[in-house]
Amino acid sequence: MSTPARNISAVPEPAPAPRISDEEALNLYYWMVLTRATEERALNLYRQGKLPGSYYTGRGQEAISVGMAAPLRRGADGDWLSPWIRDLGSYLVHGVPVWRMFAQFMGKAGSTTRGKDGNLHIGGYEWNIPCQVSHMADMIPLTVGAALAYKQRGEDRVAVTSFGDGATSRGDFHEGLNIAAVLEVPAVFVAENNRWAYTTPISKQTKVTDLYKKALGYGIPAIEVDGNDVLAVYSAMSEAVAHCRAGRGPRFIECKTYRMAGHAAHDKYESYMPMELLAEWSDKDPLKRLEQALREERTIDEAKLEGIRTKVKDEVHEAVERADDDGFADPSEAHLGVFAEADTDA
Amino acid sequence: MAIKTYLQAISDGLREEMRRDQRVFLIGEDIGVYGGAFKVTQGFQQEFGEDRVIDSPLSETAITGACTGAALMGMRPVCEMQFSDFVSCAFDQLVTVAAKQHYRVGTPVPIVVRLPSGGGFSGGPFHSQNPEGFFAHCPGLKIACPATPADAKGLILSAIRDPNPVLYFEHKHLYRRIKGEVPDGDTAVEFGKARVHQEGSDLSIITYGAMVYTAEEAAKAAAEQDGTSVEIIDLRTITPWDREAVLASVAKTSKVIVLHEDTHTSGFGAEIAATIAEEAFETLDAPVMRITAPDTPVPFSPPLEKAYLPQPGDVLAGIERLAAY
Repeated sequence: MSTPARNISAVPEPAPAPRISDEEALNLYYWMVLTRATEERALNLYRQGKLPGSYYTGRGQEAISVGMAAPLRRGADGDWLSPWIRDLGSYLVHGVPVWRMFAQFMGKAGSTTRGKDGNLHIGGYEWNIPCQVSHMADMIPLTVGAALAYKQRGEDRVAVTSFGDGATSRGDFHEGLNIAAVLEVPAVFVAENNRWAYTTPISKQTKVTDLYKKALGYGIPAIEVDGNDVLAVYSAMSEAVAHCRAGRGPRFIECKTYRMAGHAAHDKYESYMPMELLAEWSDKDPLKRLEQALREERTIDEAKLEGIRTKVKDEVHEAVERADDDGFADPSEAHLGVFAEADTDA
Repeated sequence: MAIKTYLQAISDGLREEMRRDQRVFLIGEDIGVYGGAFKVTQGFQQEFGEDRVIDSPLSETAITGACTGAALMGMRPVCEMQFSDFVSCAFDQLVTVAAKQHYRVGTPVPIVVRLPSGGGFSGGPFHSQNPEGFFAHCPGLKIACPATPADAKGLILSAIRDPNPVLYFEHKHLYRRIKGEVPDGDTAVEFGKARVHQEGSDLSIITYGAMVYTAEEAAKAAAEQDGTSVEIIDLRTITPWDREAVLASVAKTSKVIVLHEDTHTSGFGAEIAATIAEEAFETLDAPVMRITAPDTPVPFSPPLEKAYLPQPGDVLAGIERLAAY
C-alpha cells in the first residue's frame, strides 16, 4: 500500500488559471441551463399538486453540481458519483436522462427506483451512481469503499461524493474522511457550504465555518473555491480528479455558496433566513455569472446562448410528457426486491 | 473429514473462500498484523497481503459503509466487528444503506459482517451481547448464528457468496470449547434450513447458537430423570428462518420451548412463538414457552452473569413445567 510521499498538511497550490475552451464553457452552460429548467419545471409541477411528497431544489448551486460532475468519466465502468440532494445537475451530467428524473419525482415505473424511492434518490449501475439516502454523510463511507475497490484492483477510477455543511457535523463525515486518508484511496469529497441545514445556519452548525480546514485535520489536501463560479469548480475538480487518478490519495474541495430557497418546497424560509443575505447572493447567481463571462470575456454570440436555452426548453417539455405518459409500477411490486436473488457467478 | 474447533472452521472457511475468489477481502480492527482479537484471521495478512486483509482505524461506521461501497463496485468484503456489541456503531450504515439498497434501486450489497457475540466469560455489558434481534426486525439483512463447526464453515461460505448483506454471529463461547467434524472441501450450508440437533418426541426446543448446547444439557438431564424425549431444532439462520422445520417439530411433539441468549422482549423468540401461535395453535398441548435472558444489560461478575444467561437448570425447569400439561 505504498504511495508517493506528500505534504499532507499543506493547502494545495491553487490550480493554474483555467484554460477552459469556449466549447467546454458552452457545454457547462448547457448543463446549467438544463439543471435550472428541470428544477423550475419540477417545482411548478409540485405546486400544481402533480408531484407526491415534497420537492428540494438546488437553485443557486448549479455551478457546483455541474462543475463537479463534468470532469468525470461516465458509464458503468466510469467514475463513482454520489451527489447529495442539491445536485440535480450532477445526475444529468453523469448520464441520467431528464425524463427519468421527472419519472422519479412522480414516482413512476420509469424512475430509477421504480417508484420505491423519491426525489434525488436516484441510482443504477449504468451510471455508476449508488443512490443516496436521506441521512446526511452516510454516502461518505460508501464512497471511500468504492474508491478502495478501485485501488485494490489497480484501476484509475475515482469516487466522488458531495454533501452540505450540515453533514460535516455527523460521525460518518469524520470517520469517512479519516479512513479515506489512512487507506489513501482515490476519493474526492465536495462540501457545498450553502450556509444552511434546513433552518440551522452555519454559525450554529460549527465553529470551523471554513469546512476545508476540517479535512486538513485528517491529512487530506483541501481547498476552497467560489461555488458560484462554474469554471472555478470545474478547474478545481479536474485537478483533484487528476491527483486521485495518479494514485495520490483523497482530495477535498469546499465550495462556498448559498442556498437560494428553503430546505424543501414546503418550508417557509422567510421565517428564519435574513432576506438581505438572499438578495446579496442573488447578485452572484452562477448562471448569470457564466452568461456574463461567455458574453463579455469570451464574446460568444447571444444567438448561440439563446439556441442552447431553446434546445433545453424543448428537452424539458418532452421529458415531462414522457414521464407523464409513464405508468406506475404494479402495486404487487411493493412486496418485491427486498433481497437479491442468489448470485450466479459465485 | 477432520475434527476442528468452531474457530478453526470459521478461519478455514474464510481462507478457502479468499483463495477461491479474488474479490473477497477482509477489513477490521486488529485483524491483520495481530490476526484479530480472537485470532480468527491469524496468518491471513502473510498469505493474502495488506490489500486484502486490512487493519482499519477504529471506525465501525466507516468500515461498514466502505464495505457497502466496495460491494457495489464488485468486491466481496467481509468485515469484523471486534465484538458484536460494537455493531451498534454501524447500525445506521446497515439499516439505512445496506439493507435498503436492493429494494430501492436493485443493486445487490454482498457484504458479510462478522460478529463475535455472546456471554459466559465475564465480558460485561459491552462485550457479551447477542444483538441479532435488532437486525432481524430490519428487512433486507440476513442473519446466521451457527452452533457447530461444520455450520460455522458452511455458513461463512454461504454468507460470502450471498448477494445480500449478511450478519454472521459467531459465538465466542464456542470458539475453542466446541470441536466437531467438518467435511472437507466446499461445504456451503444453505440459509433457512434448520438442523435437527437431536430427535425427540415429547417436547421441542427451538434455538440457535450457543443455546443449542444448553438445550442439549437440559434434554440429557430430562431424559435421565424421567425419560422425557426432547427434540432440539437448531435454526442455524434466523433470517431467513425455517418455519416448516419448526412447525413440523411442533406438530410432532405438541409442546415447545423457544430458547435464546438474547434478551426477552421483542427477541427473535417472540417471532417464533407468534408464528407457532398463528399457524400451529390446534396442535399445541401447552402454551408456547420462551426462555431467554432477562430484559437487562449483561452483568459482569460471574454469579450475576450466570443469573443472566439461561442455564441448563432453567431449561430443565421449563421442560418439567410443560411436561405437566
